[in-house]
Amino acid sequence: MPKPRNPFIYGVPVPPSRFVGRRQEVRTIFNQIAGPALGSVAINGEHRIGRTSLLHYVVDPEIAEGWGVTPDRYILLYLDCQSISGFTPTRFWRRVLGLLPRWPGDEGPSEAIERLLSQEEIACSDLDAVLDGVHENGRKLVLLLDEFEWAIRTDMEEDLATTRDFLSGLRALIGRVPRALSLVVATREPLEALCRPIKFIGSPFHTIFVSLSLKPFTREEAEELIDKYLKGTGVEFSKEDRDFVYKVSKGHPYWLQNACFKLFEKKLELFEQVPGGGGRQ
Amino acid sequence: MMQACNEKDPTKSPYEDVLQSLIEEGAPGTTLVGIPLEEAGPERMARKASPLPQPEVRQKIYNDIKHALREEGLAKEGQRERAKEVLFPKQLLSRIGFAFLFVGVVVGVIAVIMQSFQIFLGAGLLILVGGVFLIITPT
Repeated sequence: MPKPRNPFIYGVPVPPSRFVGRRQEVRTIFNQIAGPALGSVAINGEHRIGRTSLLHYVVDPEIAEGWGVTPDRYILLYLDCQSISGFTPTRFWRRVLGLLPRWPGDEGPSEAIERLLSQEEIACSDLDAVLDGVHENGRKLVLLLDEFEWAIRTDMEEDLATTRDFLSGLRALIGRVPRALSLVVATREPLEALCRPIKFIGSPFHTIFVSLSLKPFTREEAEELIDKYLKGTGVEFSKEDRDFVYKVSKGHPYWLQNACFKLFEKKLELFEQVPGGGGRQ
Repeated sequence: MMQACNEKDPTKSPYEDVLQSLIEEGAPGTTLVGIPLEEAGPERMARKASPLPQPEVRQKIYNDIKHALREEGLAKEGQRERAKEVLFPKQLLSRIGFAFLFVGVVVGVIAVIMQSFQIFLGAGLLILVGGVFLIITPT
């Protein structure tokens, strides 16, 4: 008889089917993306608070469709900036262009994409042709950029100028007419704090974003998570159990899932210790 | 008037047999600890779901979990948060350090002009305190 699988997940982003809570944040993101202004959102939150899980949830085609963000009108691309080794604007755009769908024949910005990919250096201003093509194709491009701090390099003096130019270029692409680009960026520190060392000539980069700060789960969200995950396992958490896991985790999603995972294991162990209680046969 | 009774054992409730048979058949709503009924065989269905046992066992389990979480970094992160809140900010520490150094140097110059060894010692002390502040300022 198989032992029931522990339903709790920690250490890795939760799949969209297991996503819980963050209703307000999800609503804000989709309101910005699908709104008339095609806004951009900057998400921040401490380590393991669920930034990546939130982005994975938003980029999920089924979830996005539920908010009217359909593939015929939007191109949603998720990119972990950490995965771009030795981050440079050119490498970044190369990854983005590589992820863009290929339009058949002369449709869409296929030609512009191929031309840019063959260039040695790609600057933000080079993306105009691609965004025009996306717009003419009746769509909008939404980039969900995880670990965006990798793009905000301020350690060295020479990095500051490159980062400033890149962020200013990105800002210009978001604000250009016709509107065809929206960003949802996720960082640990607020975007404003990350951009503080950069002296922008015009408007600072962060001011074009709606800022969202991810907080630990409320008690209701934690209860919802426990109920959802325990469903169908045959295991129940008592009120004392729930009080304990919420108190010890303070509602932090990672620690909540971790505590629940361990409690689930303990319950199974206890059950197996009871004579006739389901030891492996 | 007809009254429900347990035919096998009149001392038991008539519903106990029914409940037992429901559990054995895996009826919806009757669960075992850790085993979805769809997966559990009838031979394993004698134990009903139960919360964690006695308070002391439960407390031990909670303590074990808490300990394990701390080993994985829960306390460390908590301490970091506290450290962020409690410690003086970097800028404040360095400013205090430089203030002491500045006053120390000024007093030192006065001591040299006045040729006072005691004032000179005081200046040295101020410079020393300033130096300590600058050393403990996190980089």
